[in-house]
Amino acid sequence: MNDQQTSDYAIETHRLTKYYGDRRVVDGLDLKVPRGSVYGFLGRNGAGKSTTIKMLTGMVHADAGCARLLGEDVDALRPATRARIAYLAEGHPLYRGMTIDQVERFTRPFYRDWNSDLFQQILDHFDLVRKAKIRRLSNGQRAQVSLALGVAPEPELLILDDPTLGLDTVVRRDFLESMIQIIHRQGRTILFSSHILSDVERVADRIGILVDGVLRVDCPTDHFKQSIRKVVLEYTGDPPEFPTCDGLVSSRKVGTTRELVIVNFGDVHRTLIESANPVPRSVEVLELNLEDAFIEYTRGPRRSLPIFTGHKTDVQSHSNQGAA
Amino acid sequence: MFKAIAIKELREVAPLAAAALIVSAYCVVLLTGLNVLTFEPYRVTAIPFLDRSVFVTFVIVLGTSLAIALGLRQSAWESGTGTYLFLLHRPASRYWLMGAKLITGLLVLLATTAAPILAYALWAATPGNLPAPFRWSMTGTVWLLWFAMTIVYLGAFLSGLRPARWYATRLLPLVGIAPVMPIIFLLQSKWMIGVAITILLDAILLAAIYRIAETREYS
Repeated sequence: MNDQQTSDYAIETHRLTKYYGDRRVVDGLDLKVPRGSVYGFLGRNGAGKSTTIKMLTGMVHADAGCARLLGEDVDALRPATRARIAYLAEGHPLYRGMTIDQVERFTRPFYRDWNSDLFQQILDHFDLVRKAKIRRLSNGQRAQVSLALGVAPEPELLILDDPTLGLDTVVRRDFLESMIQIIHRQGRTILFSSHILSDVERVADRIGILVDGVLRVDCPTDHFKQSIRKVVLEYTGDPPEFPTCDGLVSSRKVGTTRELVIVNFGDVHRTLIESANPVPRSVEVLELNLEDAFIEYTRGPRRSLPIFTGHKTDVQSHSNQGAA
Repeated sequence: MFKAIAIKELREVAPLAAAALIVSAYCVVLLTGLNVLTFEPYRVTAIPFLDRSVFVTFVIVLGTSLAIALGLRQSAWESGTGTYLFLLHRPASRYWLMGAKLITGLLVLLATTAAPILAYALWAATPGNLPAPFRWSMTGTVWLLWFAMTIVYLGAFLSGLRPARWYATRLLPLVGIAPVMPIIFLLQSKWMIGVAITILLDAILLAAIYRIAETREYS
């Protein structure tokens, strides 16, 4: 009980692990989502995002480790605590035979603090009619109904599993902006998974990147973008190999240039470039947007990716981290 | 909360119950001496509720079919549409949510299958309808079978709830309880044993349903 009152984190996991058969889909996950933050949970398809979210909501059981939501163990989550958590599952599964009104009447009795006015306001905002059958709604409209149902009980924590999956660009943007406007106004915590980086960049103030089930990045969004640099070394002839060093994500030869992706590019890396033989004709250091940074970062050699935990000093090469 | 679940479940299974009631009405009307196709009355010679009468066979076929359809509709359907993820995140215990589903399903099954039995028995009990004496004790066998339908329902629910890779393995609980109905039918003269077997198997199936509901993964 004391933990519930004092914890600064809405979500905490400790060494959370899940196997499907012999495959470790989530690998010793230590995730901490501060209260009041919008946390973008990223990863390529199959990285383990949905499995993690299902473990957080108790739909899937962890093989090892533990998770706490709002200070309470997910395996023993009391209904009263669950009422403070909204979960929008991937694909927004709702009872298709019901109308929006019927879904609300089904859901409302479970919550003591159901805000009918807010539910109606959200329906109005999205131009949704109560009499509309769920099965006749588009994917975007179903996502909007899901959001209304999730928000109406005034939850403290919202967990959204790829809420914009299958939505077109316009609907997606509208949905996300509304989501932030509606949800985040009272300091609620949001964890949402996505693989659409522009969405995350727009709304998340902190990101976590899961690579092969291992949390490789857990830091403020800006920090991640600012820490990754693409360094283009132009040579007159065949570019030489670049030596392995801390922070090096990838090194690729493209014609007479060598492209490096480096975390926390600094003096150490400059010295290595200048001491190379032959010395490059030109050196260009490029900033990356979140999408490019994500792509460059996640397509590197996965098991030896540098790990971010929010501070420069925390960035390090962990070649053994997460190895099966 | 129970009302919300019950209304949802009733809405979902209403078409199955309605179809069963229509078929029942047709069968009962036919057995009470009215040809439904020609609306011509005919002389009833069959003695109702005898062991191998048309009506007993009808109750077994209808009850078993409805029990399987209801059980699978209430369990496998939610898995197929992914709505367990929505339902089970409601702030109520999994025991409570599953219990509300089961109570509603059992009540629908028992009410729907009791309707034709009662209608036919009331017709048979009305003097002048049958050229033979009728006693309510004659309905004992059919009520025993009616009660035993709960085993089929719970077996079907368990089959729909259990995660399984293949249909054949998914249906194992149903296959397992298949011999039970003939055994209970044969036990009609010792109806208390039949009731005891039904209660025992219901308890085992309920325990299995609760255990699987709690431990299975919803993905």
